Amino acid sequence: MHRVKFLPHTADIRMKVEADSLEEIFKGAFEGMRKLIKRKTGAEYNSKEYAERIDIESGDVTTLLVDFLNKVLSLSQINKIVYTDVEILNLSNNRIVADIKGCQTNSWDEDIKAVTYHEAAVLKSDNQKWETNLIFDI
Amino acid sequence: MKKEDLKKINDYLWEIPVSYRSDMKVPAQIFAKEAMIETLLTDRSLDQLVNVSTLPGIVKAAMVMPDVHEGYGFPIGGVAATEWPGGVICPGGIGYDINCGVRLLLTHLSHIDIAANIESLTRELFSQIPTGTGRGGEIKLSNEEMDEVLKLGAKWALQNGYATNEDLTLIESNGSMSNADPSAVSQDAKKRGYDQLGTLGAGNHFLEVDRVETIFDKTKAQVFGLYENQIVVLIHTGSRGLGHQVATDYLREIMNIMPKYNIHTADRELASVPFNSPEGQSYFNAMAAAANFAWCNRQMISFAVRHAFQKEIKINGEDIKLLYDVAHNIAKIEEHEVNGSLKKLIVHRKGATRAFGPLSSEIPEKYRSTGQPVLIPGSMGSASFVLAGTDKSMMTSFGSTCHGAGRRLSRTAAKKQIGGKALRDQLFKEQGILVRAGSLRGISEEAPFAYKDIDTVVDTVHEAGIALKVARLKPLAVIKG
Repeated sequence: MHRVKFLPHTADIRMKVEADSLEEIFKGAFEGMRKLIKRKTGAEYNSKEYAERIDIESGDVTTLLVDFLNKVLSLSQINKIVYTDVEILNLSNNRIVADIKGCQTNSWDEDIKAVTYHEAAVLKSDNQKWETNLIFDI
Repeated sequence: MKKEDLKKINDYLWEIPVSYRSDMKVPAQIFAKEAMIETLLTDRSLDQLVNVSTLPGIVKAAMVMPDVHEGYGFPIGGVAATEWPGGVICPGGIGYDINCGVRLLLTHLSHIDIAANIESLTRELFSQIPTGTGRGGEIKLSNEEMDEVLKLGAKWALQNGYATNEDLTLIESNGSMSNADPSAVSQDAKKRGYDQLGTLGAGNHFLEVDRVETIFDKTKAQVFGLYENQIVVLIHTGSRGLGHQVATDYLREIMNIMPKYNIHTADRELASVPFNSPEGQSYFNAMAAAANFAWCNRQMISFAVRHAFQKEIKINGEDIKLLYDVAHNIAKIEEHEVNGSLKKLIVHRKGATRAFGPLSSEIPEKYRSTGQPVLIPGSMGSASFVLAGTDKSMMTSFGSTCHGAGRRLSRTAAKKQIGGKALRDQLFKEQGILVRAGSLRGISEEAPFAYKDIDTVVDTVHEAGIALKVARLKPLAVIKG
């Protein structure tokens, strides 16, 4: 399970993700970013689905999460698709392989420039939940 | 950090000495009036400035302008120069929106000349210039065309009939950095930008039809071609998705490769490599390509502006001239005096505008008596300013000054205070400002009260002598995403 909260930020968007597992942190962050890109689902989600496989490596799990989200963002903007589903096939502290699926759209609710590394720190809290902040530059 | 950690140098300059933290290589300097200091201490911008002062090869001081606020790595409003060629280049010192910048177009019209047609003009501008999220332009660049735009910048617009020769002489770097290398730009970046040439984007990017409300310096205004009640057009936008992707790509690459050069920074977003390393050169050349895309973008928007005026106001569009176009997120190789001798430096400006003084050979000949025009956009509904660069800025701030006002309220807080429709109606009723936007949400998020006071910021740089006021502009119409 995961929980996503949007917290105050003066210029951009701050999101906090809490989850029971590392995999759920990635899923929660993916879903949180999707809500920024397109808040509500509409008729387009009944149309043809498009899929992509993401396979990336990074130095540590925090940069891996940011890099994964940036890849999803790039694909979303390039293909004009809102990715709504993610299936994580392989996840370690340094690599993620995931399939993402979504439908075409002709507009976004938020024009995200990038997912930043600012405040990002994937860690286990005292109550054994995984958590991190993420800041989106808009 | 507390106010006691800052040393007052003069009424407009404060310093955090190197003794504040053991890893500082140079002092951190803040251009601000005393009344601003408490506000500056409410976010992490000055802590970020201290982090910048630790960058390998940094010289003289890490600096921030009076509109400083917290950013990613570098604070926004930050200026830092590193030694060429072995000092670092830091993508965080430029930002994600490479060559976000401003240009000002001048007409020969006065307010009274367009009053009857301002609504149709605004409608035409909104129709011709794509704004908002996900809205591409009419031009879809092929791979070959994209590489040409990246290499040539505004020159591509000239070659394809969207610019005049005179336009190019009035853009920083003549609208084209010669080291741009399209092969250093990823395919993802090119794909993100292929349909974005001639588009404004969203957020705080805008196009305004302004009236020159006040002339502060008649001599400089005359050289610039400004007069009271003149109609001018201000354009604020950058390199769009292409530039954002270049920044993302290289921040990731440089973060991973940094240990090879034994570089460790206090903040991931300050990831840096030596300028003369292969990775440093690759980033600088990709940054230049993205900067060229932005200059071409603003040139294409200018073409649309000329067209809209021609159609709705029945003037010759080519009579609309460019005053200047200047970046506020960029790195440039420049010579500045350090400890009594001229040094070649890599000057990073992130949310800071170049403000070269008179006689500088880098600025157009027609401005060598006045100093380079400096364009400071206000927030939607508030004033914008034209200033002139000075010799003092060359001596004290690497030829740099502020870039705008900076937010003081979050978008959520702004939306809670007023809805988009109510604000749009209020701006028209109380100030006669027409607003056309891609979304009502976009209007309320950019409410004037969400930003700091631009007059205070501009007065500070004027009194500090790092740019001098020439004119104040007030909006008549705003187009945004």
